[in-house]
Order: sequence, then C-alpha cells, then structure tokens
Amino acid sequence: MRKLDRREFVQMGLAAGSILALGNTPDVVARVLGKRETRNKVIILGCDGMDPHLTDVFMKMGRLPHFETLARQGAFRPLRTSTPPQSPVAWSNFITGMNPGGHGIFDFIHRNPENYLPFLSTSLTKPSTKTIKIGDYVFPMSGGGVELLRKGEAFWQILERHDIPATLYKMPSNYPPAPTKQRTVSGMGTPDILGGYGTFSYYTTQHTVLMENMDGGAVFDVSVVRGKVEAKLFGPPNPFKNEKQDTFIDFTVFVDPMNRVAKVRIQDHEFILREGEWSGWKQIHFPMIPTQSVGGICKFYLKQAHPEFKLYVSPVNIDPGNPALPISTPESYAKELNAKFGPFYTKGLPADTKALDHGIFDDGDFLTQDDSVLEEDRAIFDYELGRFDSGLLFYYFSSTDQRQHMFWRCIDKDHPAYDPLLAQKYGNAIENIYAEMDGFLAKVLSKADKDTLIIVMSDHGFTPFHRAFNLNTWLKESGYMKLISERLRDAVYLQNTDWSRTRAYAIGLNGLYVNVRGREGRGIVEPGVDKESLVREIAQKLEAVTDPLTGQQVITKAYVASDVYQGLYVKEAPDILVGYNRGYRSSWSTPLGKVPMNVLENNMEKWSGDHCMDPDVIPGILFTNGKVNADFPSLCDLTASILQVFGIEKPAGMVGKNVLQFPA
Amino acid sequence: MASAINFIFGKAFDLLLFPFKNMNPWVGMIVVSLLTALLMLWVYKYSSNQEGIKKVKDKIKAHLLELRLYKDNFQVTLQAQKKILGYNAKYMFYALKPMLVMMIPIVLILIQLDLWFGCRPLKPGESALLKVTMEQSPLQSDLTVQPSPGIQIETPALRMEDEKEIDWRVKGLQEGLHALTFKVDNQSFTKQVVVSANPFAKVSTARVRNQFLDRLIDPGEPAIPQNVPVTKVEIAYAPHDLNFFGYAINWLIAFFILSIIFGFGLKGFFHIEV
Repeated sequence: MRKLDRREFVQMGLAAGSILALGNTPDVVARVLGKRETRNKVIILGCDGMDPHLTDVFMKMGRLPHFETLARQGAFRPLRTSTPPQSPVAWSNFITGMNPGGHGIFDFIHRNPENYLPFLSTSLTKPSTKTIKIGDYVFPMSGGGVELLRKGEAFWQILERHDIPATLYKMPSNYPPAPTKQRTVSGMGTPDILGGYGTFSYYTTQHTVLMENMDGGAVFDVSVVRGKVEAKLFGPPNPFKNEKQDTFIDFTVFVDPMNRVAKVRIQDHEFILREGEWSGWKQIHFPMIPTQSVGGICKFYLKQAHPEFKLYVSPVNIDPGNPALPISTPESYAKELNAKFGPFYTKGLPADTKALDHGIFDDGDFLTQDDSVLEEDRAIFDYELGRFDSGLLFYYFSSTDQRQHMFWRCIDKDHPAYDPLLAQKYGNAIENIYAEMDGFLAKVLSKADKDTLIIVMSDHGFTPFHRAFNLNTWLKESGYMKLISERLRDAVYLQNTDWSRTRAYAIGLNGLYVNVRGREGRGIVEPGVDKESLVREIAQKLEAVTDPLTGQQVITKAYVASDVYQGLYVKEAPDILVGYNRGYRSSWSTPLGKVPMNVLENNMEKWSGDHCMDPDVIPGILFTNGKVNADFPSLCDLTASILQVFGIEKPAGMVGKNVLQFPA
Repeated sequence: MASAINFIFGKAFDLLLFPFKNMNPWVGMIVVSLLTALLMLWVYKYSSNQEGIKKVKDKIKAHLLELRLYKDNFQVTLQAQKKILGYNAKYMFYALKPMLVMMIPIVLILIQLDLWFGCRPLKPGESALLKVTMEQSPLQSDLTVQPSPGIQIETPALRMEDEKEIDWRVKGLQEGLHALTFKVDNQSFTKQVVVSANPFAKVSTARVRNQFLDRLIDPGEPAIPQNVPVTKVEIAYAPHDLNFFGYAINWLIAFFILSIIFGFGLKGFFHIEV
C-alpha cells in the first residue's frame, strides 16, 4: 500500500469527517483546505493555431492516433474563432466568454486615439509616479506596476468563487496574471526583461549581416583579439538614473585559435560551448545602483567559432526563481516550478521567430531552440498532470503556432518562398509538431477517468500567407488618407500622415479606424451619420478589392465593429475589422503605420503561414470526449460549457452558451 | 611541511566524517561544529588568563550597575563609562592571545571542511569545466588529457594565450572516484574527479604545485610534480549549500553559527570564562 504523506493524510481525514457529518448524500463534495474536491474534472490542452484541415489530413495519414480515438469517443468540430482571429483576442474570448466588445482586446496592437501611437494591447507598464532626484540618480518613492488591460472576469476566477481548484499553465493574454489564488503562470504577452516581446543579441565578426533597425534583435559588431572577444549584454533602462541609460553586463568570450570551441565568462558563469551548441539557462543580474539589480535568465548559442565568430544570446527572460515582474499566482508557483525543474522560458512566445526571419538562425537552429521549449513544456506537463486530481487543468502549447508560421513555406508549393530543397528537409516540421501534441493527448487519455472531461482546443487555424496587403497604401490610393510627403512613405507610426485631410487609417494587423472628430486627436470626420456612412462605404470597397496577379478577392469580409461586438468596450474597437481571404494578410508595414508604394506584394519572408484573416476561413479545433450540441461552436461557448460542467451558470455579460453534454 | 600538515588533518577529517557520508550533511556539520566548539573551549581555557577575564568582567558588571544607580550624577556616570571602556580594552587584550592561538587550528579545520562541504561531486550526466594553468603560453604545448572510463572529455581543448590556460569540459558518466591523466613533455600526472549522486563527499577541486600556501589551501591531492610545466589543475564543481527548510545556507555560515552556539552553551558546563 502506498504511504500517505502528511498533507494527504490531513485531506483524507477532513474529507472523511465531512462525509460522516453530511451523511451519505449522493453528490457529495468534500471541502478540503478551502477547495472543493470535484467529482467532475476538466483537462484542457490549448494547442495554439492547430488547424482542423491539417489535423484531419494528419489523422488520415495515421499520425494522430489519439486524436482519432478522442474524435471517435466524443467529437471533433471546427471551433469558431474570434474577430479578428488573433491569439490575444481569441484567448481573451475563451478566458472571459465574451467577444472583444466585452474584454477590450481587439488586436495585438492598439492605438492611442490622442496621438495615433501604437501600444501593445494586453498589458501596460506604469512607472513610479513619485520620485526624488539626487544628482544623476532618481529614487522612486512609490511603486510602479504592470496592469492587465484585458477586462472581464476570467473563468478560473469564477471557479475560485465556487471553491473549485484550477491550474493554468501559460494561458495567453493573462500577463500580469489576473489576481487569484489559483495556480497560474502567464503565457503569451509576458515580456522579456527589456519589456518587449523578446530581443535577442547577436555578436559577430561577419560585418555583412549587420542590420539597422532590426526588430526583435540587436546585432553587435565584435572582433577577436588574441583569441578574446569583449562584448556587452544590454539590459533594461536604469530607472535610478536621470537619463535612463541602458544597463549592461560586460562579458568575455575566449576562442581557441584552431579548435571550434569557445568559452563564455559572464558574471559568475564560465562555460565552454562547441560550435553549434547551446548553453543551459544562465542567471544574470543587471546592476542598477550598488544595492539594486534586475535579474533574468538567458541562453547562449555558439553558432560559429571560425572563420567568422557568431554568438547568439537569447532574449533575457524573467527569472522564474526570482521574478522581477509578476508572472504567476500565487507568486510562489513560478518559484516552485523553478525549484523542481530549474529555470524555464517565461517570455510569452519563446520560439525566436525573429532570429529565423532575420537569418540569424537557420531552420535547423530554430527547430533545435523550439525543441528545447517543448522539452520544458513536457517536463512541467508530466508533473502537473501527475498531481491533477480535482477541478481544472489547462496547459498551453505555443510550438504548434510558431512552427506553422515559420514552416508553411515548406509544405506549400504555391508559396512565393517555397524552396524544394528546404521542403525536403523540413517539410515534416508541422506534421511532427502535430504528432507531438498527439503524444501529450495520449498521456491525458491514460490519466482521465470517466468523470474527466477532456478538451483539446485551438484559438484559430492556419492558412498560407502568400500576398501582403498594404492597407494604408490602399487607403491613400482610394483617397481616404493623405501624406505630408511622398518621399517619407517609410515613416513609422503614421508620422507622415496629413491628419487634416485623412479620413481613415490602419494600425494593428486587422484594424481600420476612421479619423473621428472628438475621438482622435486631430479627427476630421463628424461622429454619427458621417462616420457610419464612411465606415459602410470603406467596408464595401474593401470587399471589392481583387488581386491583379491572381484575380482573387483579397478581403472576403470587412466587419463593422458595431455589427459584431457587444459589451462595454465596443467604442474602443477599430471601426472595421478586415477579414482577409486565404493566402492574404495585412503587410508587415501596416501594423507599423507605414505607407509603401505597392498595395499588394509577395510575402517572401520565412514567416509564411498565418491566421490574421477572415475568421470564417480559419476556425480552430475542438476535440472532446463530451457530446457537442452544435455544428460550429465558438470559443465563448466553450467557456460557458466548462462552467456548466461544474454546475455553475454563466454570469451576465458572457455571450457564449453551453454546447457540451458531459458525460456524453 | 605542508604535505605533513595536510596528511595529518586530512586523515583526521576523513576518519571523523566517513561514518556520516551517507547521512544528511547536517549530521556531519553538527558533529564537527560540536567538536570544534569543545576544542576551542579547551584552547581558550588553557591559553587565556581565566582569572583576569573573570575579574575584568566583574568590574564591567559593577560599573554598569554604577551607571544605573547614579544615573542622575553626571560626574559619576562619566567616570563609570570611562572605566567600562578601559576594562573592555583589557578584556579584548585578554582575548587576543587565545584568539591568536586558535586562529591556526581554525584555518586548518576550515580548509578541511571546505573539501567536504564546499562543493558537491559531479552528478552522473553532469558536466563541469576543467582548467589547466600553465607556466607558459599553451599554444605551443603538447599537453593532452586522457579520461578514465567513468568520465568523458566533451570538448576539444580551448587554449587561452594571455591566461596561460587550457580548458576542457568534462562529463561524469558513472559514480566513483575517477582520474584524468595529463601528459606533457614526456611526463604524466593525474587529477581526480568525483562523480556521485550523493552531494556529501570529499571533493578536491584543485591539484597544485608544491608551494607552501597553495598546498595548504588545496590539500586534497598530492602536489603536481615540479618538472611539469603546469601550475594548477582545477575542476569547477558546483558549490554545495546546506538545505535549511528550503533555504540554501553556505556551510561556512552554518559552521560558525553552530560552533558559537555549542561554545556558549557548553562554557558553563566546563566552567570556562569567555
């Protein structure tokens, strides 16, 4: 017989006492240490971007036997995604059971209507409001903070009110984590130590790769002198200095004159890497003032020692063992995982797609790095699944999304960036990650008993990204936008826009705004009828755009926000949500507010698959062992259904409805 | 001389800590701290002026009482404070001699304890840096290293001209006491490597040349032969902290706190004035 630990002994004792006190009621629930032990349990695997069509194809190929089993026992349905089908929006729909009008997340990027400047939609970092200046130094007298901008109650907060325990590992759109006593670790949206979505550092003697204004990374020109490279790793701006100079750590790399090997010496760490080898996590500290520093974790990758020196350093992640910013609830949960498994990726989307896009990584490097993400995911998953015995467990995987973004060009012969040689080598990268998910599902199936509802879901599907649409260029050519200078079309954040003559502008991946008087800082379109008719006019014209190269409709549906959203925050939404056809997406220039020359251009990037299209063409997946009473359920429906499994009625404001019957 | 000291102290600590090898490291630490406290009390008793210390402490107590009784009399309190300061200085003078006598054995004990508590062995599958410091630039050296079966050299040599150093990365494969054999200028010598899943074991981090101080500080292995152009061979084992209810505590802090507690706890029992 297994020996009970003290906690289990106390729990069983209390549970037994409760049962005796209540009598032998048929649907008994034991209150144990403030949480109910639930009869019904829910395990959810959140596989970002898993596509129903590809899933079906891989099932038919026999690569997903456990998905097939689950579909046979329960159901497999396309899952209606959000409008627009972007991950922060879609996961917020699932978290709150509301559409963006209710939770206020409309895009990866929102804009400040006063000055038209973009900002990240899900969180806001606030500096200290009271400071004292002494010489070059500034001392904060009150704490700053990070604010979660998503509105509405998360479903695990509702579960908490009913004493139902929940563990949620890396739920997207939940940074900083919503206040709760449930165990949560924040996911997509969690920044690196610099406060952005991740900035790698690359040190090289190969001057030709130096690039200016590289987003997501910084390249440093270094020299090898007498077998030694002296370099700096930059950290966050120093809040204790008037000028807010960037903090940095000096480090040295020793390179053998002949052998393909190097040693990195940084702070207390000294380690040797062979060419092509990654280090483990290294804890580092950026000094601020003598008594204060900010800690983080990073990995080193010696891409090449000779003839050119190439060293990649990952974005500095928040250290889960000593987090500089809030990444878990309770705070001790991240520390607990760190103590058990060592440091792990905390940055929202850990796979470094930017490094691959900029040619710092090759495809193999990227897969190696993403495999290390998956390895960490697997270890923590096994631990959480192993100890799960009550309530709800949600576990998120980002690799499905990231690999489809980067390797679609290897499975799609029509893609402009298709390369048959690469396709031969990496054509199975997407198939393999789907098979990995099947492995995780196998573990869930073997753990689940008859009272466990299993859900495998994705926030959206995937389609090819062949052609990029410059929405601001189209607005300009259609007469809705005017520029100050034709020569400054590359100016970012719409700085070249003549607002006194501009009626509409685009910022973000799917959003289009009318320049409304009284709402925008320099608005010219009167609110009310003028604005409404302009919105309808633009929407109609957008749906009529065809690609001169292919003759295809570029935008299948331009959604008017007031038609598709409900809730308190509809007024903050873009006026039109542009739903692109399969193969089309907004260009990389559009979210940045640039106005390039051509309306349409080929997408030659490695970022070759995407989902920021028309929600109708890109549903996600829903697999469950329950019965689904709808042909095309939505993300919001899932939220209401999960609450119903625990006997909780959906709260007012939640737009989803119960579509699951469990037990089936 | 250093070799003789190392031999005596090394054997004594091996005998002392061997029975606790498979126990929680705190057991060994408590035993060593207790014995150290007893030793220090004994040294203190016979190397200090016990009568003088007792008298000085009584005087300080008397003047402290004077301070309380005559707190309204400024002149008396000032005189009392002056006397207290004077007797304090005398007390410190009395403490100086036993402190100087104790310093040498304490340092030798700390050096031996560092071998046992300072670092933990390589775990099977774990890697560490191997550093060889040479007399001259390593670029022209023919130094090679050969591992015994339980360990693996994972990287080619990394030669650092300015540092006069050659590094490798070694990996522990099987538990046990293993050896790395170095060959240079037709001479050979070894460096031991400890691989164990048990964090409490005697670990010699460095093997050094026969210089008195170096040998005293790194006593775990015999000196490197003088005719070899290598001054030090070092393995960067991970530091070993003692676990105190989830908190990592450096062994040195634990040792000093425990020794002081035992020392003060037992001084009355042995009628020793401290």
